[in-house]
Amino acid sequence: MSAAPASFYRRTADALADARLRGAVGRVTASVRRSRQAALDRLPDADAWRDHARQLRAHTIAHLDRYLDELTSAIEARGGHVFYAPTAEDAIAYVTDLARSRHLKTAVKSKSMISEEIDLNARLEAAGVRVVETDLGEYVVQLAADHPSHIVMPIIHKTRGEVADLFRAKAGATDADLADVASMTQFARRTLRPEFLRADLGVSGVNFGVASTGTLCICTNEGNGRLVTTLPRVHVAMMGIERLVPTPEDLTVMLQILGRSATGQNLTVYTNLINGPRPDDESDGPSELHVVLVDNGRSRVLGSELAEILYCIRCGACLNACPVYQEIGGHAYGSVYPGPFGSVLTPALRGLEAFHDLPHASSLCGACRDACPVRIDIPRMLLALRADDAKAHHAPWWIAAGLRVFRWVAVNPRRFQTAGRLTAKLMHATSRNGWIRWLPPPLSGWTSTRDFPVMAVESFQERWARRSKLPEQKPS
Amino acid sequence: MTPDARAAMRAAIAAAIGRGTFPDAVADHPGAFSWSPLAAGDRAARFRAELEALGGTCHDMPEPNADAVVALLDRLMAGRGPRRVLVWDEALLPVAGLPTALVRAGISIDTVTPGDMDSIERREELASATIGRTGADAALAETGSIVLASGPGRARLASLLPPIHVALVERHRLVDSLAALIRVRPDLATAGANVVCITGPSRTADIEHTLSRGVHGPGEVHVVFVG
Ligand code: SF4
Repeated sequence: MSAAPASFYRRTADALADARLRGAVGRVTASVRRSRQAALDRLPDADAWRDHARQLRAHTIAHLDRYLDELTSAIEARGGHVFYAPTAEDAIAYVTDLARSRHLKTAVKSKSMISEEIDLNARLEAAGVRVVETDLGEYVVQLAADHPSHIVMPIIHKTRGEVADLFRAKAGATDADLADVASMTQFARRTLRPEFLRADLGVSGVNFGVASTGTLCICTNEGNGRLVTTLPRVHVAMMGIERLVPTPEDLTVMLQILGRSATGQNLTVYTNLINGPRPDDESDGPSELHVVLVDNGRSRVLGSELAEILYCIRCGACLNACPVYQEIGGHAYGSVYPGPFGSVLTPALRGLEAFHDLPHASSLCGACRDACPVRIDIPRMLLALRADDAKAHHAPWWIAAGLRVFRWVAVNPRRFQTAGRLTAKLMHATSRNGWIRWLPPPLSGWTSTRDFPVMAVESFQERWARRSKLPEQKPS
Repeated sequence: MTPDARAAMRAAIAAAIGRGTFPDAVADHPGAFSWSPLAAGDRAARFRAELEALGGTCHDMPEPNADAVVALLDRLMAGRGPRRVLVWDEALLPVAGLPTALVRAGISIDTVTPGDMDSIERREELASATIGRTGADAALAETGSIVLASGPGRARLASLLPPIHVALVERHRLVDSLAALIRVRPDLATAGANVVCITGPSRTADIEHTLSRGVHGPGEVHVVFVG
C-alpha cells in the first residue's frame, strides 16, 4: 500500500470533474447490482444462507487462533510450508528469500489483494524476479503502471480505447488484435500463455483457507488462477490471517453467496481447491507449496470494536451499492481497499492519522450493510471511527467552536428564540426565491455545490402560540 | 521463521481475541445449514439450462459409444488446430475403447506424465493440443458445474490448456449442488492435490464489462452424460 496521497478532497474533486470516469463507474456498478439481485433471487432461501454465512464468519473470527492452528497443521501434514508474517516486510522478505534460494526468475501472478496491500510486485522486481500479472484486468493495470480501482473489477475506470492504446504501445498489439473486446482477450491469451509455460514461480491470493483440511480455495473466472497454481514449480499463496472457514462444508456455504454477491454468477468459473504440493504419483502441479499468513495490522483490528470488518469476504458488493463509490470511483479513496468496507479497513489497518477522511466518505445510508452477503454493519464502524477522529481533534476548529456557541444558545429558550428570529431575518435579506446561493467560509463548503434553503419567518413556537389563540375547530 | 516468531504472532492473535468485539459470534460451531433439495426429475434439465446459459454445451449418450465420442471430437476440432487431444487415463473414463477409435480416426493422443513439468519444450507440446478430454467426479445441477479431482492419470492440464474441454460423466454422478455433494462426499474436497469445480467456459468481463470467453482456460466446455 502506498502512503495516503495528500488530500482526499482533492482526489474526490478530480474524480467528480471526470465525467467519463463517473459515467463508466456508474454504468458498470448499476449493471452488477442488477446481476447480483437476480442471482440472489434465483437462490431459494438466500437470506437464510446469508445469515448462516455471517454466523460462520463471526464464529471463525472469534476463534481465529484455534482455526489458524488447525489450518497450519493440516497444510504441513500435506507437505506444504506455512509462514507467519507479522508485518508486510516479513512477508516480502520470506518471498524474496525463497526466490533467491530457489533461483526463481519469473513469477506469474493471479489476482491477490494482499500482495497489492504489501506492494509485493515492486519488491520482487527489486530482488531480480520478473513479475507478470495474468488476470486480464491486473495485466492492464500493470502495463499502465496504474492501481486497481475496484477489488473485483480492477479496471472499471478504463475504457476499451485506453486498453487498446496500452496493448498497442506496451505489448505490440496490431489493429487486428484490437478490433473488439473478444480479439483483445485472445491477444492477452496469446501473449500470456508463454509466460505461464516458462514461469518458475506462481503467486496467488486465497479466497478461503479451510482449517480442518488445509485446503486453499482460489476463485477465478479466467483460468489464470489454475495455471498459476499448476505450471510453475513453486507456488506461493498469500493470505490474510482472517480468510478462514472451519470445514469444507462451511466453504460451500460461503461459495453459495460469494459469486452471486460479487458478479451475479452462481459460482465463479473455476472454484479451485488446493490440497498441498504435487504428490509423486500425480503428473502436474507445483513441487513446492508455501502459504504466507499475513497479519500486517489485522491482529490489532481483531482486538478492537472494528473486528467485524474481518468477517469481510471481499465480494465488492458494498462498493457497487455505495452512492459515494458510484460517483468517485476507487482511486479517490487512496487505498487498495476502496469503498465502504475499505473506509473501515484502511484506517483500521493503517491508522486513522493518515486516513481520517475516509470514515466521512459516506452518507451512512446503509446500502453497504444491506448489500453485504455477511451483513457487516459498516455504518456502525464508520461512526465509531468518526468518533475516534473527533477525539483526536481532526475535526476543524470551527466545528467545535460552533457547537460550543450553539450549546450556549440552545440551553436558554429566550436566547434560542431570539437567535432564530435574527437568523431567519438575515437569511431572507440575503436570499433569492427562498434559496441562498452563497455563504462565507467555512459555510461555503455547503453552497459551493448546492443552495441552502431559508428558514421560515415564523418559528414553530410562534405558530403554535398563534394557533392556540384561535377558536377550537370542531371536527366536521 | 523460528518457532518463537510463530508462537509470538499466535499469542498476539489470541490476546487480541480477548479484547475484540465480535457481533453475532457463537461459542460453538454454528453447525450445518439445511436447504430444500431439488426435485430429482429436474436435475438433468436444470444442469443443461445452467450450463447452456453460460455458453457451455450438454450432450447425452445413453449407451457408451467410443465411435460417437470420436465423431464428436472430430467435429469440434475441425479447423481449430492440430488433431491432438490431451487426455486422462482411459481406464478412468466411462467409455471403453477410446484409444483405438482415436488412432483409427488419425487423432493423436497426448498424456501428462510425472517429469513433464521439468521441461519447457514438453510443456509447450502439451499446450498444443486442441481438445482436452477428461472424466469428472461429479456434476452439479444447480450451477451447471463439473467437479474434477486430480490424481494418477488425471492431469489438471487436460481441463486447462486446450481451447476446448470435453468431459465424459456417468449420469449417476449428477447431484443437486456443491453443498449437497460435499455433505454426502466430504472426502471429495481432498481427493487429490487439486480439486476443481468448473462452471462453464473461461470468461472475463474486465474490459468495459463486456463478456468474452476463453481467456486463459478453455473457451468451449462440452459435458457428455453417459448412461
Ligand atoms: S464488506 Fe461485505 S459487501 Fe463489502 S466486500 Fe466485504 S463482504 Fe463484500
